[in-house]
This record gives sequence, C-alpha cells and structure tokens, in this order.
Amino acid sequence: MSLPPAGYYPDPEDPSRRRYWDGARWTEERVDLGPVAPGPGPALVVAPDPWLWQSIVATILCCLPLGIPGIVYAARSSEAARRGDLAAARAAAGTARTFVLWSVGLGLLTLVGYALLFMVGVVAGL
Amino acid sequence: MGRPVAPLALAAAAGTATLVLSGPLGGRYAALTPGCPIRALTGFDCPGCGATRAVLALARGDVAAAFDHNLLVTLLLPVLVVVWVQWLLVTLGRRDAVWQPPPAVARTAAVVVAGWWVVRNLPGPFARLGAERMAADVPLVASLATLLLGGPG
Repeated sequence: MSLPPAGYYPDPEDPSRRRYWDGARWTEERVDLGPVAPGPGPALVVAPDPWLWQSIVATILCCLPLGIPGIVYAARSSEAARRGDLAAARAAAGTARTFVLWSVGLGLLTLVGYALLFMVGVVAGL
Repeated sequence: MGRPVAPLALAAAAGTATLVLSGPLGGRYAALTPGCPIRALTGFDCPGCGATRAVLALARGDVAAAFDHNLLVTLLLPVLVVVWVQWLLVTLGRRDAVWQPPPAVARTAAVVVAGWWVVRNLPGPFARLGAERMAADVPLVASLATLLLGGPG
C-alpha cells in the first residue's frame, strides 16, 4: 500500500481541522480552516488500530470471555482495512475497543470486589 | 514528537515488581494476594491463570516451571515485547513504523486463546496444562454454598 503524498489532510483526531502529513507520518502541524467543505478531498488511507493486541491481553489477563469477540472484531477490522473499506475497519475497531474496555472494567471491578471479600475473610479469621 | 512516558513507566513498574517478587519477598506476596477471582468463583482456570507465577519462574531462570504454570503466556512473552516496542514507537510519533499483522493472525489468535481456555480445564492428559492447583483451592461458590446450606464439616 503506497502512502499518500505530503499535504494538508483532515486531521484523523479532529476532522474539523487540517493536519500536515509529510508523506510518511502525521506531523504536529495543524491548521484551522473552518468547516472543511464536504465532498471529494484527498481521503487519507491510514487504517485504524484494530485493537488486536489489546483484545488478546484483555482476554488473557481479565479472565472474562468478552475479550474473545474483541479479537474477532479486531480481525474483521484488519480485513476491512485490507479491502480498503476504512469506514468498516473503523467501526469494527470501535466494537473491539468497546469489548476491551468492558472486559478491563468488569475485570477490575471483580478484582476489587474479590479483594475486599478476601480482606473481610482475613479480618474475620476465616 | 511525543514523549514515551507511559510505556517506560509501565516497563519500569513491571520490571521492579518482577525483581522484588522473584526475590526473598516473593513468599510473602503469595500469602497476601487473593489470586484470580474468576478461578476462585468458578474453579476454572482462565487463560491467564498462572501467568504471574510463570513470569516469576522465568525471572528465577526456571524456564520449565514457567511453561508448566502457563504455557501460552510464556510463549507469548516475546510477542509482548514486540508489542511494547511498537507502543513505544507510537508514543514517539512513529505510527508509520508500526506493523499491523495480517487478518489471519487475528483469526488464529481468537481460536488459540479460546481453545487454550477450554483445553487447560480438561481432565486427563490435559490437566498438566492447567495452572498448578493448590490443595486449599476450593471454588468460592462451593464454600459459600456449604456455609449457607450447612454442608459437611
């Protein structure tokens, strides 16, 4: 996949602004051009992070089955990115991210709850 | 140009914890931590059960014990190092240098992790793959049921 040429493109972090792409990577140079006119602009071909390794780590360390669909959606995201369907890739990566965050959140909640229970048990001498 | 604060801090914390816990203080740690809540509740090993013990075994240089505690995590540790380096690159603003694995890798990972979860909980020849079970490791659900319903003892 060849990278797009250098120039100002819609900032992936803030689509209302333009950001300078030096041909290989994003720079920190952003310009505020007001509302960017909709329509054919140079669409930037940068695939989103599919949240693959985060899903795997969450599955292994949070001990919750939620990480598995996270991995599956990460796979769908990178497949869509390979096809060039960046909208689908972004949507799937977002779903994978949701699964990871729920997995981590519920995992931490379980751990804190269990640690409290454990301490109560220690104090009560069980 | 970003500053790689988070990856370096996490690596330092993980390194310090590993050094401390694999040393003479490690024994106390085992008595102080409640362990994996999911395993205590259900009695089943999750994919990560035994991971801490595996890492501490590696820190002591005992590779065989590391594989015994958690085969998958021990095998994945080099991958984790690669992921960490990529995270470092992203924080340095080198997103372009990050390698995204092909979709087949992700598909395989889903099957491997799910399969690992099932297989290590199977009896018989697969029991070796489970995290080492301790004698007092009775599922919490069973203990609570005994407590509430008044079981034997």
